[in-house]
Amino acid sequence: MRFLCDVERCIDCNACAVACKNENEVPWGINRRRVVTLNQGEAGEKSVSVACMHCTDAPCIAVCPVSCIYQTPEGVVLHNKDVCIGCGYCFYACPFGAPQFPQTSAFGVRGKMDKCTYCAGGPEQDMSEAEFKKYGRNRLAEGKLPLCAEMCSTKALLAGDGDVLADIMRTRATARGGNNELWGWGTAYGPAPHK
Amino acid sequence: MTKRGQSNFQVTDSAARMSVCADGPSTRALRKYYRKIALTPFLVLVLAVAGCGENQQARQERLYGANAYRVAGDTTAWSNAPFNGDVDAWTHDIDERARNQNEYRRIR
Repeated sequence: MRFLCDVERCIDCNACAVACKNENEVPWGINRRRVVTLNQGEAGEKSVSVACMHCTDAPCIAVCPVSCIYQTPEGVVLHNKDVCIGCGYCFYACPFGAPQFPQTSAFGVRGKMDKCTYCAGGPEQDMSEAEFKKYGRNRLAEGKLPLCAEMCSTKALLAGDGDVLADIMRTRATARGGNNELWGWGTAYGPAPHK
Repeated sequence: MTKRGQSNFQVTDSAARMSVCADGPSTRALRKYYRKIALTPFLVLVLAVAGCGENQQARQERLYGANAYRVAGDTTAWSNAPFNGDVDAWTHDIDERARNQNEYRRIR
């Protein structure tokens, strides 16, 4: 399971961030997804929607001292808030700044880590109240994709299996006049673990 | 008078004890003294051993790979209703939804 943001299409509308907050009832001060704009105000500025990229060899898993972060068979990186100690190592390890920490009290005291779950919940019973309270909606268990991608009006943000996304991008690149050089996820890295 | 007498008694009692030790201790006092000396290294040893035998409080293995979710106490996305363990049906639904993000496919 991958996210792919087509920077040629992203218009910095932040609908993905709003959709994520609304669907998962993300508290104030936490942004699981945000839109970063490069060269803002200049000709040819580019925007890209960034969240946890659910890395294959996720550095947050490697540095977590209590091993609360884990991978699911479909390649989503999740974490257990009951085990998390809020140390912040994952934040320093993450190249995208995805892990977020709620401010629980004054003087910058950190709470448990919170990040994009690919709308896949956590270790609690799927689609249960406890899971929703801690991690948000489990759309993946309902056979749906993350809402940020499904809500994207320009279809800049894509979610799904790496090969399917590569196919979509190949079609787009061809339509834009590019040559068909995109190999696809499966050719480059092999089939997804759950297939 | 009573108070003074009591305090006198305490003073004399402790003085007597000291004198016993100084002059030539009785067997009982000597035993207590040796017991204290013998217990000290034993207690130090017990504390040292307890310090070395710290229990592991956190999981040490890194949770990568296909079976990591089991160790973390999670289930797969397709294990519950509406898929009830049918991974093929789940994959089909997810892939179909992902393909629908392609407007070149929709407008064809």
